[in-house]
This record gives sequence, structure tokens and C-alpha cells, in this order.
Amino acid sequence: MGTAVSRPARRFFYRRLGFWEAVDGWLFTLPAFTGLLCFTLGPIVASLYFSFTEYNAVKAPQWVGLNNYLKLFTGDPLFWHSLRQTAYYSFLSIPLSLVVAYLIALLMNQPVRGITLYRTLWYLPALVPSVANATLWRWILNRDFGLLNYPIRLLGFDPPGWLIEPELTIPSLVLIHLWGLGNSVLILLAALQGVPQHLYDAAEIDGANWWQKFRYITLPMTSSIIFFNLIMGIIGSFQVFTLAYVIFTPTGGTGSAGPENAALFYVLYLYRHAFQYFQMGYASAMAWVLFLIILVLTVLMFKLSGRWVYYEVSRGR
Amino acid sequence: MMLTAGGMVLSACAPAGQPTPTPAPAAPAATPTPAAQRPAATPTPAVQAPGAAAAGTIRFFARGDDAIFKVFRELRDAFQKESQRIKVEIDEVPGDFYQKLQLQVASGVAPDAVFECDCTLGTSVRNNMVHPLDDYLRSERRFSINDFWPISFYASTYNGKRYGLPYDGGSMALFYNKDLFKAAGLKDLDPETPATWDEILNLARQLTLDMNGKRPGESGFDPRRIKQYGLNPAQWAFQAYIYAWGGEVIDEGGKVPIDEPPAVEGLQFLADLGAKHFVAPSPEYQQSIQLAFNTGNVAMEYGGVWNMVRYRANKFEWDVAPFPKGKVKVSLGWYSPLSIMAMSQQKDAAWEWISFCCTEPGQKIVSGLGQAVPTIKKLAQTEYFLNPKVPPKNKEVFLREMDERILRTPGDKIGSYFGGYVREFRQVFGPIFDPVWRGKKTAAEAAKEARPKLEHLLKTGQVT
Repeated sequence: MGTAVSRPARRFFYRRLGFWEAVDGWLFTLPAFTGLLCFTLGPIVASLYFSFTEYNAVKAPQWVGLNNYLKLFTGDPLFWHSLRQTAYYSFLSIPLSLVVAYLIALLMNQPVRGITLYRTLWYLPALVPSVANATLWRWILNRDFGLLNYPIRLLGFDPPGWLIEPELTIPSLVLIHLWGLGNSVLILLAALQGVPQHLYDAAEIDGANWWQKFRYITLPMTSSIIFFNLIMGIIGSFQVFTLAYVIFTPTGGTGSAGPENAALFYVLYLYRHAFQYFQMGYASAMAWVLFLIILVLTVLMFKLSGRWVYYEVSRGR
Repeated sequence: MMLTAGGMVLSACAPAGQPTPTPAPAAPAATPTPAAQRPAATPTPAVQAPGAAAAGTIRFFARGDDAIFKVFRELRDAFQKESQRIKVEIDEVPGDFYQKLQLQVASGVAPDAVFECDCTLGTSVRNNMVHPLDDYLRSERRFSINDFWPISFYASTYNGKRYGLPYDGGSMALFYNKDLFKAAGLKDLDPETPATWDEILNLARQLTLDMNGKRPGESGFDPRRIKQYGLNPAQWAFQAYIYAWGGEVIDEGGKVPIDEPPAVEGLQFLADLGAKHFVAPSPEYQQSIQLAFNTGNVAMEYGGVWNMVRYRANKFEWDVAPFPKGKVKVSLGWYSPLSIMAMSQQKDAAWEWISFCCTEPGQKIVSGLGQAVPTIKKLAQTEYFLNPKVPPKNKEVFLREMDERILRTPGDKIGSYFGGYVREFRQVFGPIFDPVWRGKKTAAEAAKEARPKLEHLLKTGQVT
């Protein structure tokens, strides 16, 4: 702007510009916002109401007060069982996913020839549709003919029944999950590449070794992304469903949840109530309990994050 | 969370009670006695063209796979030739159909008719989703209920009312691969006199081979490296083994006495086939993909008549024999029905369509393609079902297994299939019996644990 334009005129111009920019912004977000209101927020609120009712999706809901919640906590052993199995899965898969994804990202960040090819290869499994993924792993983990048990057998060990023995079911599912970590790896890799080179240069001048560079530069500089992955991991793993659903649905039967219900995950059990037993009210109550569990864990993680997560750009006061 | 949320979306945003796409101007509103509107038809069955009174477009919800959809497409084309006034639109739903059906109902866009499953009909009845057909059946002139096999309504009758017309099913029998029998130097099975279970076990031992060609019992036999199983006994049809040993699944009083000696013995025999004798895949679901009857590496399989529609593509010779005799000779069988949705505005038109499929004109097609024993008794002995040009040779086996004196199905003594809780029954029974199939627990222990839970289920409808 030249000096020819008077100050108030300039202010007016910017204010107008700001206004129209805001309008544009709102217009651009309107479809997403409408979708959020109608298809996410609306149903969420509705499900809170349904959780206090007996509702089969056909007849009008009937108010039953806290009955669904009471039954969940006092009269449903399978609820506790499914919660236990889900927690087991989560507490095994979340830290493992983080560590493995981080290690792969570190590897993929090495300046070696053909690294783009390796990155592509690592990402590929994330593109496999979950049903194909499940089918593939059902073969790999087959006790008698599976790819995984082949070397175990050659080494002279008794090959385990990965998907047959209830004790091995959850670890097997975690293993399958670890295979498809491409998305986390991608995000972590971006974070690693975002660490400014001058920090390493400075550290090197000070005589830092690789461990010190990793410990005092790489790790803190990527901690916010690790934290993001942790939160997404918590949210995702407590809602694990497709994997178990596809793997343990035999073609002719009516659906199993793994040997002795070992893979009866929370959402799988919720699904049964909602879509097999027609107990939408009960299922809604289950959904809200799960929501609260995830919420509490997430808040807890945020509270703890101050101790280890470093944000380069300090947040506004 | 998202699942339930997704379920709520439609119920929250869609208008309730929306009528089906094209309401028929000529069709009378759904009335309990539709025949009143229908002109008195000629008394001879299957002469009157379908859709004489009703008209409009109906939406038919078909579950299943390609083989099943193909049959429905043929039925629709045949129906459409005879009926100009009723147009049938088929909604083909592969995979987990029930969730989709439920969402359509909740959103007010329920179909008019549905290919129900024996496994879900009880739930549909309890939730007022399907319409009882007794009035239609009573006033129907083209056919009578006595034309059907008496047992064909087993899986569609609840509280004395019929909620579907039997469409697809019939009896089960022992399928066997004649090529494998020949290769092992064994004679074909007798199509008339049922073999004993001892005989079948003996055959299965000779037909089970590990990767080195060893059989169970021979030294060096490796039960973990099986390339050919002698028998798939169908663990999901465990009830047959309870009955065959003289036990009971659900008695007149709604008790589930599967922990009594005869039932336990039958269940233990079934488990031992895999866990002890190594002639059967065990646990079933783990092996079922690569070792199956239609891939030619399972010599015998207990399966339903409906398997024929797929097995006719098999590249080997096969036939069927009666279910072997345990302590008593029993058989198993049922029909999945076609039902009319309670919300349909076009029930009369829907009735024309489903009755076309489930009676003479439709069943000629269905049974001809090998999907069912024709529901209409008099069709059974005709060339439609017994067509000598397509396998298996001894289709009469299925007809003999239909005999109501030997055919059983759980819940037949209390008048509703599995007491109305088919899926739930399996979901309670299954996990408790998983270790039994693996040989880690006895059938007696599992049955003792399962009985009170199953009785609780039948009494309260709750899985826990």
C-alpha cells in the first residue's frame, strides 16, 4: 500500500477484507460443518438419549433410566470380558506400535540409495484393504501350513496355533496390526525430516555422539508427533473391530469372536447388541462407556504430556 | 462408538414411515384379509396368474452370494413374464445382511419382502419386523399349506404363527467325493441304508492322508500336516450328533439337557473325530479355507442340500448318502423363508412374489438349480429336483432324510427354532465348546457349563 491511501481508508479496506475472508472461510467449512452437525454430533447426542432407553430401532424408545448402565456394570460378565480383552490388546499394541513405527521411521530417514523404494515398500501394507489383510493373515498364521510357522517348524519347535489358542489370539492380532503401521511411519518420518539440520550441526561441533543427538535433539523435536500418534493409537485400538470380525467369521457359521471369545473386543460385543440382538439402547450405553474410557485416557495423556512433549513453537499465553 | 453413531444417523435424519418408492394406486391398503379383495380364483393350483389383484413395484431384499442371487434373478424374470402389474426390484446384499436390513427398517425405507435367514427370523419376529402370513395362507386358493413338507415351516413358526414361506433348504446329508473313494479303493456309500458311525470313522481313517501319505494310526503319521481329511463333520451342526446318540437339545419344557449322557456322548464323538482320531479338521474354522469338500481334499462332508448349487461346479465326481446312524437314525433339516416386512405398504404384491418363489412355479426353478428340496411335496419326485443330468446321482437321499419321523431341529418340541435365539444360542455354545474341539476339555465339562447359560438364554433372551 502506498502512502497515498489514508489511514482510516486502509483500515476500512482491511476490515472489509477480513469480513469477506471470514465469510469465505465459513462457506468453505459449511459442508463439513453441516456434516459434522447432522451426521456426527446429532447421532452422538441421540445415542446419549438412547442409552437411557430400551430401543430396538423399530419401535419407539422406552425410557428405562439407568438400567442399561446398571446392567452393564453389575449383570454382564461379557462386558467385563470384552473390556479386559480390549485393554489387553490396547496396552500391548499401543506402545509396540509407537516403538516399531518410530524405529522404522528412523530407518527410512537414512540417506541411503533407493530409500524412496524402501519407503514405498513399508507403506504398501497400509494400503491393503482390511478384509484382504485379515484373510492374508489368517493364512500366514495358520497353525499347520502358515508361512510364519514354517521356519518355526524347521527350527524344530512345536509350531503354535496362533489363531486357535485363546492365549495367543490377542498377541497374534497385535502382530497383524503392526504390519499395517505405514500411516504412523509416514507421519513420524515427516517429523524426523522436520528436525532442523543446524541443531545436529551445532551438537556435532560440541562433540555429541549419535545417541546424544538422538536423545537430546531427535526425540524432543519429534515428541509432539509421537504424542499425536499415541493419542490416535489409544482412540483406534480401543475401537478395534474389523480385524477380529473378519478373521473369526467362519463362512458358514454365525460369527465367532475367536477361540473361547478371546477376540470378543468391546466394539464387537457392542456390535452384537446393536445389530444382532437389536438392543440399541444397551449398545448406546456401551458406546458412551467406551467414549468415557477413551476420554479419560486421552485427558490423562494430555495432563502427562507436559512432562515429556516439547513444542518448538510455544503456545500463546 | 462410531458404529452406534452410524446406526443413529439414519434413524435420526431420515423421515420415518416413508412409503416404498412406487405406491400402487390399485393395491388395497394392507389388510389382514387380503383375499377378500382378490377375485375368487380357479380352485386348481398355480393356474391363476400371480398379481391378479395387487400391483405396483415391490422391493425385495435378497441376502446371500452370487449363486443365490442368480437364482433370484431367474425367479424374477419368470415372475415378470407372468405378472405385468407387479414389478420386483431385487436389492442384492452380500455378507452381513442383517445390519443393513435393520438400518433400512429404522430409516423408514424397509423393503417389502425379504429372504430371511433361519438364524435371524426369531429376532425379526420379536422386533415386529415381519408380518405373520397365516391369513394369507388360509385364504390362498392356488395352493394349500398341506402342499408343503410338514417340517418346512420349522424355522419360520414362532408362537404358533407363520412368519415366512419356506423357500430355500431341505435336509442335510453326507456328501462324498467318489474320486477319492475310488483312489483309496473304497466302495461307494449305500444311498439307502445309513452307515453306522463306526463304519464312517473307519472309512475316514482310510481317507485321511498327511503330507507323506500316512494315515491316522500308522507310524510316522503327522496330524499337523494333513493334505486330505476324511471327513468334515460340520461342528456347527453339533445338534445332529446330540440327536443321533439319543440326546435332546431343547426339550418340551425349554430345558437344554445337553449335559445328559447320550448328548454328551454324541458331542464327545464329534470332538474326537478331530482331536483324537485326526480325521476331521479341528478346529473347523481354522482349516476350512484350504481344506474343503469343493477343493477336493475332504472326502466326506455333512452338509445341506443347498450346497448342491455350488458343488455342481466341482471338477470331481461326487454323490450323497444318508447321515450315519448313531444310537438312532436321525436327520437334520430346515428351510429359510421368504417373509413380508411388517412395514410394507404393498403386502399383497409382496405375497404374490414370495408365494410365486415358494410354490410350484418358483420351486421348479429353485430346486432345479440345486438350492433346495422343493418345498412342495409333489414336486419332490419330479425331474426338476431329480434331474438325472446333474449331480449328485442319488438325490433321493435328501428326500428320505426329509421324513418327519426322523428329521429333527432344535426347538421343534417347543415350536420355535432354537427357541427363537439361533445366533445367541451359537454365541453362548460356541466359546464354551471351543476347547472341546481342540481336545483341551471334555464335552461333559463343557456341556455342564453351557446348560445353565443356554437355559437362561431361552428363558430371558439374554446372552449373559
